[in-house]
Amino acid sequence: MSKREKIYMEEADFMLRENMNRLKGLIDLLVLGAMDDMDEDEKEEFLQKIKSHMDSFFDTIEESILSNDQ
Amino acid sequence: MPKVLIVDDLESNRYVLKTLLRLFGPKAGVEILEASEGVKSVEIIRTERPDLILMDVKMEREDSGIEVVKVIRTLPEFRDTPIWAVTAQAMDAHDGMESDRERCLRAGFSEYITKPINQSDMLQKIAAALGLHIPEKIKRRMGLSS
Repeated sequence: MSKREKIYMEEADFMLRENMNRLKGLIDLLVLGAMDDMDEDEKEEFLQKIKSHMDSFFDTIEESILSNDQ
Repeated sequence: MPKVLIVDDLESNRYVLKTLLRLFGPKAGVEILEASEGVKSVEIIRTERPDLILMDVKMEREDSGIEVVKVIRTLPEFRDTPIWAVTAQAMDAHDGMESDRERCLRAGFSEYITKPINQSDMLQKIAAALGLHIPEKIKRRMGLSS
């Protein structure tokens, strides 16, 4: 693997881990019952964060894959 | 009352860890401190003396977390404070360079945890480190009790 390819691979790995961390974190917490003791505003914030991270992850993947006209 | 400092430049990552710590419940009395950059965290560590520090590595600079842990470990009173690297940098050793894990542990981190974090594992790890009890209803959801 060339040095350039390695840099791209490291960047992609980092980006996937960061994005997945936020999403998996919130889903794991949801399953563990994190929303049980939240008030309505906190529940709303929690759900909005899931949606926002999902959208952001989708955009990241769509840009990196579809922009290559494949 | 255990104090936990979360250091990460992204609010979204801090939010996940804060919400995780809330699972211990109000009786556990976990006090959560936050910092969004390495430099600020040094000040908080010195004044607040947290019992556990969860620190990102790549923040305002590529190796902010590593720089902070090196500074903190030079202070005798913080030689044994648990400082865990919580990072998305997870490269193996290559081309004569150390792996990210080796770099973190050599700098002075006591644990190296890669993102994405499994929240159940993290909860158990924190409970063990701070001597905290995981509420029964959470344990059941983790499949740890009947």
